[in-house]
Amino acid sequence: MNLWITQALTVMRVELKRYVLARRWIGVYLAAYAPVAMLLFAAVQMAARSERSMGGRMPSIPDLSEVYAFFYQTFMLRLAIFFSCALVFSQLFRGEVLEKTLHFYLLSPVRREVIAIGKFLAGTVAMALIFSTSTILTNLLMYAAATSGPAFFFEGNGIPYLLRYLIVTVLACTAYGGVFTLTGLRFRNPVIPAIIVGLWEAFYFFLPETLQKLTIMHYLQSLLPLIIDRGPFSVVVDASSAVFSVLVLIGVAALLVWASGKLLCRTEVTYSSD
Amino acid sequence: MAVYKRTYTRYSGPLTSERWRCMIIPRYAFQTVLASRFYTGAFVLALVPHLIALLLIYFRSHIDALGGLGIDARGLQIISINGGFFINLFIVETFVSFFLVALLGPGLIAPDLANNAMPLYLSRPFSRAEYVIGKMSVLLTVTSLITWVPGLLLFSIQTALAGLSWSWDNFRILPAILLGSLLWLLTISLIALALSAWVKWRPVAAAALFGIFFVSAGFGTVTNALLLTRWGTLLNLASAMGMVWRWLFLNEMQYRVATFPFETMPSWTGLVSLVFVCGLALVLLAWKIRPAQVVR
Amino acid sequence: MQSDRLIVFDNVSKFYGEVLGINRITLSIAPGVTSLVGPNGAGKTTLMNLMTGLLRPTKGAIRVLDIPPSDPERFYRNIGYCSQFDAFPKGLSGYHMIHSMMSLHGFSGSEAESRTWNALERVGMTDAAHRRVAGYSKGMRQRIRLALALAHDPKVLVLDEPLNGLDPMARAEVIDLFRKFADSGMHVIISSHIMHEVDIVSDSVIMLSGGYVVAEGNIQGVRHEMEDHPIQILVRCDRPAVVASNVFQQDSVVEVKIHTDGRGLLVSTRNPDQFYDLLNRIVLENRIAVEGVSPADENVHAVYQYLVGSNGAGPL
Repeated sequence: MNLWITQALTVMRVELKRYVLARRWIGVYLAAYAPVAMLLFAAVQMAARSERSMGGRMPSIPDLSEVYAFFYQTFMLRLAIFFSCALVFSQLFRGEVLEKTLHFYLLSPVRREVIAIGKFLAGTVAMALIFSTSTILTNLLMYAAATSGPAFFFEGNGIPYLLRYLIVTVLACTAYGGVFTLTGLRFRNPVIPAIIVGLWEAFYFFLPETLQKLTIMHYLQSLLPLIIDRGPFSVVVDASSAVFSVLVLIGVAALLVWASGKLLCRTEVTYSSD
Repeated sequence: MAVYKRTYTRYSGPLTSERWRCMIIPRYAFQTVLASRFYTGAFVLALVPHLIALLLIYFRSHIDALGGLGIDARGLQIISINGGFFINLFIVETFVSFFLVALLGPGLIAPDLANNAMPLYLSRPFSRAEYVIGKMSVLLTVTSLITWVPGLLLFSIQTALAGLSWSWDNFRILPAILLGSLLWLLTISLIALALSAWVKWRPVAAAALFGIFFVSAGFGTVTNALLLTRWGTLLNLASAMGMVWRWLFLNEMQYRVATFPFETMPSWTGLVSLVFVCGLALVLLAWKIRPAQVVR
Repeated sequence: MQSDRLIVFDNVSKFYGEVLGINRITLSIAPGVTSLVGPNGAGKTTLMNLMTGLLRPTKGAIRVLDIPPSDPERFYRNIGYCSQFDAFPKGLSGYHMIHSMMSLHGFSGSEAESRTWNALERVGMTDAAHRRVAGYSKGMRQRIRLALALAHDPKVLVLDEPLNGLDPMARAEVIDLFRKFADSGMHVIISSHIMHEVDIVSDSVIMLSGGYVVAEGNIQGVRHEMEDHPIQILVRCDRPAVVASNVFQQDSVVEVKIHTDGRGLLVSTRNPDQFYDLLNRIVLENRIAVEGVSPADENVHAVYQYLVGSNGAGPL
């Protein structure tokens, strides 16, 4: 077991060197840090404006929390993290097949399940790092201009909210990472399953209660501090408990990665054309 | 050098025209497209909005005749066949043509780069521009057949049914169909080819195209909400094109942003946004399409 | 020989859908240099990929030093494979490529570094080690692939056309390296199209055609078993006509051709040992001055032509 852990961590380290500052992931960095740039600009603008020019009042902490919840749930979770995970994780193995480099791993004295775990961990660590820093920065910048911002963080719910957003970010990267690791191995063209999963997750709130509990988004939403209104046609379901949600998300990711490992055991190196 | 038998002679017959030589490229791409039932099916489905529009145009001008057959079609009188009618059709075709480009576009350049075929193309008397033009002609041809070509046909049919006075009153529609369609098709074709050249893997290029479309739209919405501005709308390609459509069809010089009903923005900014995106795509294509890459 | 010193194929077949890769191959490969020879599409790469666990056989079983490919932790410690795939992960230098793989093998940081430099030195790539692989020439990339295969000191080295892209000096050095490995008891499996180099370096040959093994073993032994192709012996002497008129005393001699320069003759015989005895008698009785006697087609190229070549013609 120690050997497997060491090997998985070695695979993860080798892979991480390829992710950090890789030019091919420029879209991921843009998706993660463009909101930071935008909020920095907004914070600078708001700091420069007086209350009078803002229509008589600065946005309150509850207003900013609502706005951030809207931004996080609409853009970060559904678009940025989802598409970035789809892009990165579906290429973990299929990208190696396309570049004809998968055999280097398969010729090493490492069990294929361990290779799958190591690569998945590398993707998760990279995505979680990128989007966690983005979450922290956007969260801080959101409240930067508010006069009661520091009080909100150090005396109010600021830090607990931020921690919950961070946990959701990491778990989203983990769970979606598992999904797309498997689809990348299983399907020659992972775009179609990605679209199906994307639609299923994006519009989960229209599904009946039983089906909502089969979506990753339901468990992620259960962990968020604030839920935005989905409109009159959404089906409102009670949030699952935090512990249960975390266990489900980690369990689903673990199951999908295990399945990916089994699939990799049956993979042959032929490098036929895409 | 001593040569025993000089039997080799260069070809001295006529050559094909240099101007059209780039059309060699789409010839084989079209064969692939037409041979695929999936692509053919998608192409046929893309014509459905035009078919519905055709039926509406026909029934709208034959309400009395339908009444004679016992069909009460007086409800159709609320539909006016004018710029508003065509703009709705072309807004739908904006999305339909995008999906078709997302299906066809990523597979055009990515396989050539992934399989190192670029030196084979560019070691012939064939420039990079001709290569891109050849590839783009595939997308432009297929998408033109589902956008401005049937659009112009619908305009002609409506003119035939409603008379020349109708076409005189709605003369804007004709150039609007042509120019607007070409602008949109050029934009999405260049984006698709640029992503195909950058990502080199067809499915991921398709995913990146969807990502750019939806993520930029989402980012634009969020920008508007967070910065209390309307300029984030320009990040949404479909909205930018919507501005251009409204300008061309309805002569609306100011675009009213849905989330900020009391604020407007000049419609020409939509055009600038699309032209900027085209420029970025061209820069990416110029960077990526090279016969050889020097790595130090 | 004990099975833990052999590479064993037990009735192995591999089909790619309906396309035959290899069919019903049973082999036991002993230590030494074994060459896989065959035309394009014969199944050489398929055989190598099966041997190295990159493919699973459709039927049959494979064991390398008595370890199946389903036990990768033991299997890949003993195997080094220099494949035909000329592709490397992006952005890595030759050094980093090898060092990463050594880390995956479980070597400590210092051990991995030392092995990396040893391997680079063996293939003559120390100067260019820190340059990105994408900037290497074809021959340099081939050397890095070789270094990757050698770095962990495997017991079995499988090399798919290892001399491709190498200049003549490098080829000679690499051939010398293979010989040293084989002499130390390693298995060195090579596929090559360069017949004279296969002749020089190989202890045994496996000849493939159309997915089947058509010949296997020491090249001279294979040649002598080919009864439908008489052995051709070149005799260089001063009076070839005299020798020619006398050799037909033996029924086993089927054909004689006098060389165009009039200083030798090519004899085709079904029984070379008998012919040598006869030749001795003829030379002594007729006082023939003999410059040389050598088999003309006891080489891989000739055997290849007979077994695999399209018209079955001999080498002359």
